[in-house]
Amino acid sequence: MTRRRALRGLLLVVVVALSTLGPAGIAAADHLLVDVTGVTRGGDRADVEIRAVVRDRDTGDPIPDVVMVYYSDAEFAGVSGEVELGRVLTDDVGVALFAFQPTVSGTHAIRIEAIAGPEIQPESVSIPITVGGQLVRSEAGVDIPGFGGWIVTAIIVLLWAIMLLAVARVVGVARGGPSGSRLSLAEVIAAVSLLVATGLTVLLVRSPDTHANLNPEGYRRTVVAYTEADYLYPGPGLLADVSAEQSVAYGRAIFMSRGCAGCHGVDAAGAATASSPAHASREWLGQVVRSGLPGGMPSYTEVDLSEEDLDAIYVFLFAARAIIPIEDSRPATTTSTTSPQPVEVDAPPTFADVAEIFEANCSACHGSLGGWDASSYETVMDSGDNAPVIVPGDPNLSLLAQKITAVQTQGAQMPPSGLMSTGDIQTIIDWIAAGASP
Amino acid sequence: MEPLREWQEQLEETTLGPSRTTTPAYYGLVAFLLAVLGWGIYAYYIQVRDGLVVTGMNDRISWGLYITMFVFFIGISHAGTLISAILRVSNATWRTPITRMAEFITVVALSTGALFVIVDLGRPDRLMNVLVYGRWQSPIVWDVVAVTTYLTASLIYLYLPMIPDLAFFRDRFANGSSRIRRVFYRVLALDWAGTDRQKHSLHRAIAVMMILIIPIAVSVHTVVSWIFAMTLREAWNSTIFGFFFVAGAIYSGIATLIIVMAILRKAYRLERYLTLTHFLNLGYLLAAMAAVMIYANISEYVTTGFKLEEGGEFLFRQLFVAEFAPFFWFYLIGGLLIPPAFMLVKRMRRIGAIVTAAVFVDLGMWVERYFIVVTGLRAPLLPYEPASYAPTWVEWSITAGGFALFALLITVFVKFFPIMAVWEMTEERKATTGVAEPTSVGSGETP
Repeated sequence: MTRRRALRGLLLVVVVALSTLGPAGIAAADHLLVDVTGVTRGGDRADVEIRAVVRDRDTGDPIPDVVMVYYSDAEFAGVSGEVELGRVLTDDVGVALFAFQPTVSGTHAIRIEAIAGPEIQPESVSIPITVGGQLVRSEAGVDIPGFGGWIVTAIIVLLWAIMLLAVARVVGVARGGPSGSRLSLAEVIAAVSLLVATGLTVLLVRSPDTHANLNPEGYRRTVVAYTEADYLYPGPGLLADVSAEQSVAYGRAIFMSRGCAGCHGVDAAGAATASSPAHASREWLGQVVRSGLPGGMPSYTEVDLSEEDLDAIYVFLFAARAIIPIEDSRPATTTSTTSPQPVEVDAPPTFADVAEIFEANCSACHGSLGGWDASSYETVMDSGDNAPVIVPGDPNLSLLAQKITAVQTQGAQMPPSGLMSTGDIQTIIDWIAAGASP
Repeated sequence: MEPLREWQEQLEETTLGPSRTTTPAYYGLVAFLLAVLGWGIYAYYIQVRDGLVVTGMNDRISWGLYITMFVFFIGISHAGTLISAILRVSNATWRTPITRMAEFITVVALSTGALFVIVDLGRPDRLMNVLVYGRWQSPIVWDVVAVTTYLTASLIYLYLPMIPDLAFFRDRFANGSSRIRRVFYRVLALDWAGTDRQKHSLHRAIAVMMILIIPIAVSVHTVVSWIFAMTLREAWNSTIFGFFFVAGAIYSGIATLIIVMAILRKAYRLERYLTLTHFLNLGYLLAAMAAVMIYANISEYVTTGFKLEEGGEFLFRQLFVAEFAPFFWFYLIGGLLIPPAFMLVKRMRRIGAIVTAAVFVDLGMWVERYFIVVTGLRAPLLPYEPASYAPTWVEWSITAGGFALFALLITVFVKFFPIMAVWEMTEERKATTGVAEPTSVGSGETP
């Protein structure tokens, strides 16, 4: 008796469970069917309206309240992906209406994702939508009724029509001759005139559809170039195909490899030992590099550092101006020559500062895998296959400093994953330059 | 008065002269001009190779010598067509010996000027973008349309009255000339034999073009001025810019015509046809245009100078008292006041003096073009230090190349084409002398 009751109870539970799960089961995984039934283009504002129906794949019944998410493919600054355009819900008969205003012409892949619930796999369809023409009409300005580009076109067409009449007379002159020749220069003149007239008319008539921003296919933006009167950047001309980025990177490499970065900082922003040279003029840069400065700036001969290398460094420094305020560099360009007193410096970093950086960047390998050991001051100074890796007071000769700035004389750049942050690199260089004290 | 026939033969011989004989001096001149042009092309190669960084232009002053040359040459181009068309429409009979030269100056100056727009481009390989992405809302496109229309119209207008003269050349070079030369004139002369039907067609075509070309010429320099006036710049913010440019164009156009006339007159002994009367008439035209220019300058500088808003003060200072003052005063005095003064003094009404006045006008107008471009860009839009601009050797070389190209094209033209309108001059002579002798010009028979 109790057993039977228990069985009946269990049966009831199963029935109830089934009855509640039932409706959900209809909409369960891969049972959604999304149909795009129409795409319409709106009037002036160029709105695109997408009409879609969501049905049960098996029964064909429309499904209400499905969340429909609309994406468009997009590209910005060389990165491509998707942007969400918006979302709507399907109505009682499973229909979703979605309107959006495209801002870029061309063919877009619009992806629609139908989400019916958390445990149901979303269904996704993609449709291509091509838009063109004048997509954006500015609200600014005074709109004089009837006044527009057609007037310009009409004037030009009228002018050329009259001119072509005169050209037709030239053909008349040729045909009126005694030999009655049929093809002459006159016909060529007429044909060329007609061609030019047609070309100019086409240019004016298709005006609304030509703006570069609205027509990204086939339009390439100009490479960003740095320009100023005294800027020696040698391009980008047409014949020398050098991009601005390449040129700056080259200058940076010279700046690092010739030891400038050791005192002036890896990004030329200035450091404890020397100020930023970023705002120096090319002329001043040449003078200082060739003759040195009393504060410790060494002199370089043309054998050490050619004029071309100086140009390259100048390009890098010039590009660095954008991120280095002019005040920071004043002492290096003006004050340091006129007033010999040293520039006030912050306290140099201690071993505790660099130990932290070693811990984060180096100790995973250096300390357990042999070779240089980054775990303590003594091992940092003495261990390693090329020991010592640190020459107190001279970052340029220190293999450690070379390796983290990728200008090493031996072995590979460290860390292998790529350069550390410039701040960390600077701290280590400053520490070495200040004597690498414990 | 000598018989028409004799007069006509004399004229024909004179017109044929340059094509018949070539002096060593001519070759020397061509060689010199080619050398200058070659140097300009080399400079342009440097510019294409290294980019516009080799010029003195920069982000703040982005137009310099090149745009100056563009405006100057487009102005010169008004020499011809407009002067010749206006004189033709008004039926000024003295025009006939000078129209051909005027019309040719137009075509050559226009081509040279348009070339300087391309020279000014940092990426000339993207020239076609102006057609592919052009839109009528852009003043640049107005320029493209106007200059193209004007160039086509000028070529047709140069060619039309030349057809009978080319036929005359064809007949004269029928025997004993190279095959190329015979084909050249035969093709160009369009089977002209002076039949009634041909004359009728030609007269109608010229009648249409001489009227049509006037609004086209006016529109061209107006649109050139709008390249500036449609920009938000204190110096260019002027409603009379279009008028100012057109007046300046005609002014410098007449001056250039006087100079070219004087040179050709000396070189090819055209004294008989290009008389003092022609120079005087052009000189009076020059003086009249000077008056118009003086008025336009007063109107421009008094209206803006009286109010003298903040940006205007900077502009006035740099023009009248500071950096640009010496040259600007040269333009005002040497370019605008001295040339008409020449014409007021009776003793100065000689060819030499008129040519001198014309040289002053061209120098003054070149300076004015340069100042419109550079001083306008120099006046800062924000309270910065004003930018500076000085042309580099590359710019000067290309500019010299441009002048050499202009001179070279004219030099070569006089070698191959009739420099005077023999046909029109004969018609004119017939009308004034009232002699109804049959003319042999272009009739197919060799006189």
